[in-house]
Amino acid sequence: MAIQSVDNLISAISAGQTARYDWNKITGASAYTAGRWYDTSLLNGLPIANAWAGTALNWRTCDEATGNGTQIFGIPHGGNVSANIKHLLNMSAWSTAATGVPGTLMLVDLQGYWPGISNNTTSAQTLVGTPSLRYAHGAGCRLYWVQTAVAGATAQNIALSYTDQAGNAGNTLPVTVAMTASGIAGHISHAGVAANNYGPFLPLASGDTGVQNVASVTFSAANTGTGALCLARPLAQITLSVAGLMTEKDLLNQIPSLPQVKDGACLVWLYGAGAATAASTTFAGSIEVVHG
Amino acid sequence: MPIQTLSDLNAAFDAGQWHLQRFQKNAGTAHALQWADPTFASGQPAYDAHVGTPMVFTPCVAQKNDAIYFPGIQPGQHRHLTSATFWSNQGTYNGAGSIVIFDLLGYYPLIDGDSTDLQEADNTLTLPRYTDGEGVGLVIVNHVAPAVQGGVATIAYTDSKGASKSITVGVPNNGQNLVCSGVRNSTATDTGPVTVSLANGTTGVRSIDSIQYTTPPGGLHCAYLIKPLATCLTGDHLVAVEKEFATKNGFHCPRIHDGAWLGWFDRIGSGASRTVAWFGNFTFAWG
Repeated sequence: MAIQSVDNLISAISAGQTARYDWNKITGASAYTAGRWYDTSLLNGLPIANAWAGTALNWRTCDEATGNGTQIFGIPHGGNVSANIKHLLNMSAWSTAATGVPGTLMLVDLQGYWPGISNNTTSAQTLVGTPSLRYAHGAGCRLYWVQTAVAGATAQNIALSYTDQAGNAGNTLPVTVAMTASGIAGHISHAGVAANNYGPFLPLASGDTGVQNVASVTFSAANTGTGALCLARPLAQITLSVAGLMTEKDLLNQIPSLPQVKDGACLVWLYGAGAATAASTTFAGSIEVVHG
Repeated sequence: MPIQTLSDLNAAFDAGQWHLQRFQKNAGTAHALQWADPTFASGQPAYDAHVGTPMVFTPCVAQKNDAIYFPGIQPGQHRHLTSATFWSNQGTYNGAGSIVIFDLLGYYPLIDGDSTDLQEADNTLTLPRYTDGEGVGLVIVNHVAPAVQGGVATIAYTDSKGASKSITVGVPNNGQNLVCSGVRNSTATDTGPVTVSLANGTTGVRSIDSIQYTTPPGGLHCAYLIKPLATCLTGDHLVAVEKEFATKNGFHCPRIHDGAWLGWFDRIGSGASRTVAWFGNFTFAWG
């Protein structure tokens, strides 16, 4: 029985159908730049770091129980509950450093990624594998590129050929999208403040609301570096507003209300830096879910 | 019949099935941007240094005023925390703060920070609540004798699935009576998280099996096993802030089990280190 009323919600809570987990992540040796977005899954902390296991250019599914098959890096949320439906109920977050605010943390359900894509070629790189997604036809699923090894200093643009939520193949990005020269590991390289930056997600063709597969990635110039193309469903976000102070979010009374957390969801925080964020900055917090 | 509807919750109050418990804790250790446990200060609930036999798991089952008091209830009823209020009358507080309310399930006291020997735990007694350990966090607190440097420990533990795990993690020197839960496997100063970073796939801790320092921090430490229940914020000094869990926590009024040893960690958000006296109320309802 899905939660369909406040009474259903209270009954589910009373029956103990909740789970709460703490998490923490610490940034690496490089500072973050204001206006850029970063993937925190590859940071050390709790859960452990995502090392982007997998074969280059081959799709790697991610889930709660097994992570990427090697590192179980998603924020835990208590396991599968079907035929119940699980929802995100509350979350909190804080940063230890004054430079960690202001900022935005966005919680996404990482469906998986294509690892080992080279920045260092202008040839189309064919991606292998058909994603099995937790969202039918990739509805609401969005793409972002994470630098997994630091990029070189050459400017380059990224182009894709993807299949949208309606099954139309061969879609391309509707605008020129610039990557960031010398982007550090973890940087969502197209998300920054430079011309032709977009983020945290890659823009989709007009009318598209999701992605179910990507056929190829092409760069306009060769640069050193390696990255992963990620496919994720954004669930909610929380703002880090005051230095040293926790932020809380009640997802019943705030929008989006009670986002669903699918069985197997691999929960990852993306971080949008509102200020230059010092190296070795810790972010921490909690999530709370309920099912019914 | 447990509370199952909004009407049940309101009816519980109408029927007098609620209790407001005030608390006051005198100023303890000065701190800022670090998590502190006011148990190490006098007041009500009473001062509790969390001592005992070294590395013997000591379950916590609240009685009277040794933790936040709440009344007993009838079998079949559920007790919930419906609101929490915090304020400080410290005139120089100058910074809003963050609170994590938890149920202290037990602790391993007096871990020798001057020894590099394997310190094995005695788990004759087990978790009194949340017995499988799912969602239970490990918190390291420097108590009784101050550390002298950042340390590194290898902690062997049994996770909530019953699997043996091990993690090598820092024990930062954050100060006596303050949380020293590490993020990295180094002696670096980490002040952010409440709970220790754990090994691949861990979703909770059932017990600690042993601790061995590879870099001894000195002093004595206590390893808590806690079930975090809720969060709330505090205002500046002389400002009372209430977190009402029904309307500000998605109707999740945390369930408070019989014997729950309720405490909290606070983290002052200002840069200047302060000693803070705390006042406030916890409100419970049951049905």
